[in-house]
Amino acid sequence: MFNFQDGGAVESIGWDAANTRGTAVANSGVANTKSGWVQLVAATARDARGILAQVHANDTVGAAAALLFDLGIGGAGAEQVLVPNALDYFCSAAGGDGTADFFFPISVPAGSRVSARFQGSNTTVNLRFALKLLQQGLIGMPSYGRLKDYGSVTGTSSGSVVDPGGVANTKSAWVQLSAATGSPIEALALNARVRNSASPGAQWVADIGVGGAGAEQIIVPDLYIPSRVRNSPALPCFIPVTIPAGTRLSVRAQSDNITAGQREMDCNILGAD
Amino acid sequence: MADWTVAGEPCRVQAAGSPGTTSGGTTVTSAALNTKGSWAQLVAASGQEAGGVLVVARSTLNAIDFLLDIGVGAAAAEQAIIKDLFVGNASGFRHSLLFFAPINIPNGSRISARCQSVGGATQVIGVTVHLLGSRFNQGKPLSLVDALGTVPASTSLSVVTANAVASTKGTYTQLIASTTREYRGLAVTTNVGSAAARFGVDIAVGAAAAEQVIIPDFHVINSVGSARQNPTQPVFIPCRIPAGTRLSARCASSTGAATIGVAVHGVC
Repeated sequence: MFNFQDGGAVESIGWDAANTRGTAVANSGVANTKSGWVQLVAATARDARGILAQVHANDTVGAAAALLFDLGIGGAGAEQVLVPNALDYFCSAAGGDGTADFFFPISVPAGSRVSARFQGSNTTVNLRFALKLLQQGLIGMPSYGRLKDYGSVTGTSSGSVVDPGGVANTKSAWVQLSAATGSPIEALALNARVRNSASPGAQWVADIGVGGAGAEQIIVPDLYIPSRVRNSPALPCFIPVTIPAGTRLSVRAQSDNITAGQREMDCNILGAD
Repeated sequence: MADWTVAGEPCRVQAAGSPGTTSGGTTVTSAALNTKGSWAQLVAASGQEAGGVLVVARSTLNAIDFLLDIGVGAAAAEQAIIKDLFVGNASGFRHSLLFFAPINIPNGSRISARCQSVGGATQVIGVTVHLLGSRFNQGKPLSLVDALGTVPASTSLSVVTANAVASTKGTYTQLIASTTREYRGLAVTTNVGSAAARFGVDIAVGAAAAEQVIIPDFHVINSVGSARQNPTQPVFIPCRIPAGTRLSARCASSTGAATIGVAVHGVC
């Protein structure tokens, strides 16, 4: 029998069924400046404990762009950021648009108005958003009430740059994403992208560390960073770690590509509590 | 690595199948065409109990599709606990799969991987499994990921065809007539075809002609026919599926009549 008490409903919002795509959010017209909020749904039908966001660059082929997007709730003109500065990327080198899937373990009450906005490093790329609200969130994982971003660089619509350095397959120096986290972290996700798509065959591996400069301790080792040619959130999987507020967060990486201009990646961390 | 025990038990992360000297994980090699190869050990004994695992698989630049198993158990006695993960790479880029499975693996487990491909023998992928601390899975422990709708005989997925009318859902294609176990959640895996199109995929339960959608409008795009794009981070969507359930899929496409490969993985 189906156990309806489990409440595993999936609510689709922002879906443009007539065109098989998500809701369009146009860029602000100013580089590295957030667009206006665009409503995805006026009122959600039920409580949700997680969001699967399917985001894709619009149907035009524009120039490569670094992207940061927000999801928000609240009435028009009074939106509150629910998901801040999720790192996304559009690369025109291979042409075309592409979807990127993000999972956010955060609660959305029934009746919420949900909207989206973004900023890009240029003004040619637009985004579309199709969200699935998961009544039960991710299996086995609690739902959180707040997400904070660390390491975002809004001035360039990107994350903090991590350079693996000129020695192949050897971890780099640590790059600080936050001198002191603003709230406790119970789970985190590293969003990373490779900055140059000219080397789709290359590979990256990153460590996440905590602790003072020169005394970093690895809390998440050897996360693989894919090299992809389109929207590329590298690791939307939230990993449960317990980190107190006020902790210094940093990242280091290694790569088998040591060519300057290709080997660098940029990243930010979303912390949930 | 650090143990932060400020609240609750520590939750560490262990990488099995380390990046080693290539930044690419442990090499796993296929056997004959569409035939699973030998198991390759990722770790001899895991260092902690895991409440979830993150599987990372990356292909080479060869344009070849793979199915990947993750197993536990001693050499020559491995048991697949995650079955037939689709690592599609028809585009010829180095494609990556990041697959999170909310299953428990006991401390001290030997973990290994094997694969098959459409390219026959000696095709390789790199595999790493990240073991997440046992605090991750706060519900009933889960232990197995089944593949539903994969087609091992051709290292592919069930073919679903959109309605000839653009942006209109087509007829259902059965993924499995009757599930053999009760599942706690499903993850959608797709393989876009050669046509440049946008897709919206529904996953449904129920008898033929009486299907009920449980996962609506899963969005997939293939904008460039020669460079396919597949979702590379399937997530498990909680939905309790009893044993004996028929699962099927249908889709709409922006162009009409386009095809897409679809399968789901069930966790139990």
